[in-house]
Amino acid sequence: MAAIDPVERPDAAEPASRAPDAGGVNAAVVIGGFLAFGSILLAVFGPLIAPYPPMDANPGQQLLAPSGTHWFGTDDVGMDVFSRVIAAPRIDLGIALSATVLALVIGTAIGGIAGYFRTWWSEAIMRISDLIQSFPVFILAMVLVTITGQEIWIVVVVIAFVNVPLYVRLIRAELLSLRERTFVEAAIVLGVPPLRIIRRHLIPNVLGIIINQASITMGVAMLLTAGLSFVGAGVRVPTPEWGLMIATGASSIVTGQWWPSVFPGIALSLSVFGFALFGDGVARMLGSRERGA
Amino acid sequence: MNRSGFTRFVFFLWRLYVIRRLVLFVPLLVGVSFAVFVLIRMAPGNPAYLFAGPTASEETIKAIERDLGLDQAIWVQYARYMQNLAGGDLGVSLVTSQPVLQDLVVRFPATLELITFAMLLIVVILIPLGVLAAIGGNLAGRLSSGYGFLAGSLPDFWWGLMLIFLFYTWLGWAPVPLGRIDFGLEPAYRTGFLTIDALLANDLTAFRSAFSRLLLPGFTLAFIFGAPVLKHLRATMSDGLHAPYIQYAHLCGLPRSLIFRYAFRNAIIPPMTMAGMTYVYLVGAAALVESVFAWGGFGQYAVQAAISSDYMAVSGTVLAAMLFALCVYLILDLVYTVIDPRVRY
Repeated sequence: MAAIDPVERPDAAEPASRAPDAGGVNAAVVIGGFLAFGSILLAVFGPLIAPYPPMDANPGQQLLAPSGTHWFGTDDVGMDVFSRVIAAPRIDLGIALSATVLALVIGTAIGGIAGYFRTWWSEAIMRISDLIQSFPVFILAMVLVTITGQEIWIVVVVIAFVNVPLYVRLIRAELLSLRERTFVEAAIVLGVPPLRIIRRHLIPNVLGIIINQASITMGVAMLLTAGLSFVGAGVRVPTPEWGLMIATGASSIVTGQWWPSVFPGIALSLSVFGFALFGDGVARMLGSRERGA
Repeated sequence: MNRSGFTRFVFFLWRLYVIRRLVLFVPLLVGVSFAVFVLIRMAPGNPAYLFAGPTASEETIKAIERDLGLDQAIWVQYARYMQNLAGGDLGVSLVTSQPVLQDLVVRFPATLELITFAMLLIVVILIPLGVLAAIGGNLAGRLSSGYGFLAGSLPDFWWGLMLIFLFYTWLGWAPVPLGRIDFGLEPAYRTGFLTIDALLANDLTAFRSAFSRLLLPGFTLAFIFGAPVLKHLRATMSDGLHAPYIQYAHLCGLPRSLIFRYAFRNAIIPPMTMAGMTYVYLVGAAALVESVFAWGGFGQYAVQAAISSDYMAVSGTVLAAMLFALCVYLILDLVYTVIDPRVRY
């Protein structure tokens, strides 16, 4: 097949440029997996193993520096920072994970349909995605959360909503080329119904891309959750949530009490970093298997 | 004959890309403004309460609702809004009691100055680094990819706080992270960019003050949002340097600097798109860094408007952000035609 040749050629040149990354695949997956899995474990067990109740204000012990009794110190109302940092993943990861799954499922379904069928409404879907994406994301999320009443499930829905178009676009772009391949023609000839073709033959082929995007969404969702809470448009005080903790600690950082905001920030960054690294590594592994390497 | 001449003229206009973009923008603007309008009016809180204050009586609230037109059907309100919009009237903010347009004229340049400074830092520092990373081998590749992951994982507002702690609280090098300029030094309003206004007024003290305030938030934004640009440039540049036409140029014995320029010219296009998107994204996303540095810009205004369901201000900010996005993409498209001779509209 001469037509395939120009497509294959860049792939053949790839090992040379991709080589530096290939050696890092396993290390990235291990480190990323360790961090990501660790934060999932904290989401499950964090509140249970916290040395102090994470929402108990202790008026006599405000802004104590880190010590043996309070590992990460206490914040401006005397809550134990360490307990709150390890209790927070339940909120942050819970929101991010639900939003990611929601965006992934809806986005993949819509993107799959829009990519397979070439009708006026698949065109309409794309224009609606354009519309949503042309909004300034952060402002949109903020407006949506505040007008619908700052419940946690609303934060989830809003974060999912702003991410759905990304999946639609990504999946559709992949399917547009995949659906021209011989195995799809074969399936059509065999009389496999379209939705089954999408589900069984097309979506599995873009799994690596979906996983990679999901790990990115996971990070973006966590940062968005924290950001929304930081400006007061997300989770409310005294819920243990990293962004909110950074916000309450922000006022005391100028006077030198760094611990109430430094530790939640590190925890949030490590967690996002872990998911990004893990997703990237897994996608590379899946990708190299598909290429037959 | 006459008719076909007219048709040709219309086609000529249509082919003028700028006009096509502007024409397509109108339905988008209408769609978005209506969506925002409906969304905000769905809010549980009644703007009239906000306007009247907590001690207002039932009748006062009714009167205010009538005044603001809140008692009418949503499409009537929307029609009125669009009518005012055509005349450049964005309504009155319920929080500041000022016309929204006037609020935006003051606050938008503040954000624009900040994010433009951040973009300059990205261009001046990160683009050369990206090129270097593409030439450098394995280690440079890993470093830039590591930096990409790191910057993508840091919350920008937290990073800003860390810089404040390091450079203001601890080292004492940076000025107080509150606002854009030292109190009393504001130059007369011309462009709204304090650094430029200070230079125009020939006031070096004010310039130094405004510039020193820009440094920390600017670096915060550049560090976090420049990473994807750098990562992208490294990838396209290193692909470019290995492309067949570059190998051919090598075989022809062209000087290295010339070959390099050929590769760069092709490699810069995708990262430039990304930089443009970042610029647009920052208008809203800088809100977090703005609130850390009490910048008082567009982003903070949007936050305040959203939180207090100040519906006129929210519509105004969204429209302004979209208008800005349109301008940036338009300029970007025109720049492509200059850089890339293959691009024709």
